[in-house]
Amino acid sequence: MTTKVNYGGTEPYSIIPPHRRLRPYVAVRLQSNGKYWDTFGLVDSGADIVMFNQAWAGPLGLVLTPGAEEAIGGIGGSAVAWFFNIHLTVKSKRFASRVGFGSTIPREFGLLGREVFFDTFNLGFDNPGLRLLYSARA
Amino acid sequence: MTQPQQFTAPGRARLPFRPAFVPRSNVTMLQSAATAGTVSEIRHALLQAVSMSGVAVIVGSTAAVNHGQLIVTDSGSLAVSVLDVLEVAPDSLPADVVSREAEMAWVRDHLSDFAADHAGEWIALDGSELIALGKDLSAVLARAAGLGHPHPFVTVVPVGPDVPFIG
Repeated sequence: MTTKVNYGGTEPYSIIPPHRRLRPYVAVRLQSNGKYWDTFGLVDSGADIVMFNQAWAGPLGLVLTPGAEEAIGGIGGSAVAWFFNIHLTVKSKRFASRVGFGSTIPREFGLLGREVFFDTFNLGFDNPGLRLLYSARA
Repeated sequence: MTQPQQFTAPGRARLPFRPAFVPRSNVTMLQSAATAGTVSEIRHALLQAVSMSGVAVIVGSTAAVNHGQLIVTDSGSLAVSVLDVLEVAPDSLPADVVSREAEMAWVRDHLSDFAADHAGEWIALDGSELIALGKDLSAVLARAAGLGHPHPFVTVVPVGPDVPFIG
């Protein structure tokens, strides 16, 4: 079977110094309660969901109510996160997404996992070329 | 080297990308680049504008600005007038296009300078300008807003060893 995907844009892998590892980062806008800021998002096909460090919750007007947290897991073990429906914008695409906020997520970048984000974009990893391929889905 | 073409007239039909896809944010960057006049900034701005257009072009390794023109030369001999780009950018483009190429370039080029004294701190940028930094995100955002930058690009100066990330 042959599947043809047309990617309309590319994003070179980038670094967050002093770390030198090139990764598929994109700028992502977190928007909730009329407030928004932009930060790095790591396009992460191994993550089930979109997650950001919980330091973002307060500025976005999101309350981390004790007892409302949900369990999350990873290679590093289990943790908890609070989930909210907010808006994200990547490139020119704004979309609603369920986003988790937890203390174990890196602060310098969030994780753009498969749920919703990979439904919103066609994504490819040109690893030899060190670039992300993307196009917004209709 | 092939002589660069110079598009001095409006010449919209000769632009190497679809005009409707040049977002306003990139036009701003092109203006900034033209003003700054550095090769790296110009190339970065043009590459961003072109990448957003969805049309692939080859951009050469050298560039120059002459009288408001952006000229990028190499075997591909791509040349485009900055004024032409400004003319074709419609006002109806979405205001929330997120590219942040200038900020990502600043991070790439300058964040290491803050690793020794500010590791682990939040840092707020707007374009190529460092706005605020500190240990508390809310305080950094408030300070940036107070300085006239209510929606900066924010990240953290990484702390710790550069180890593989496995999610």
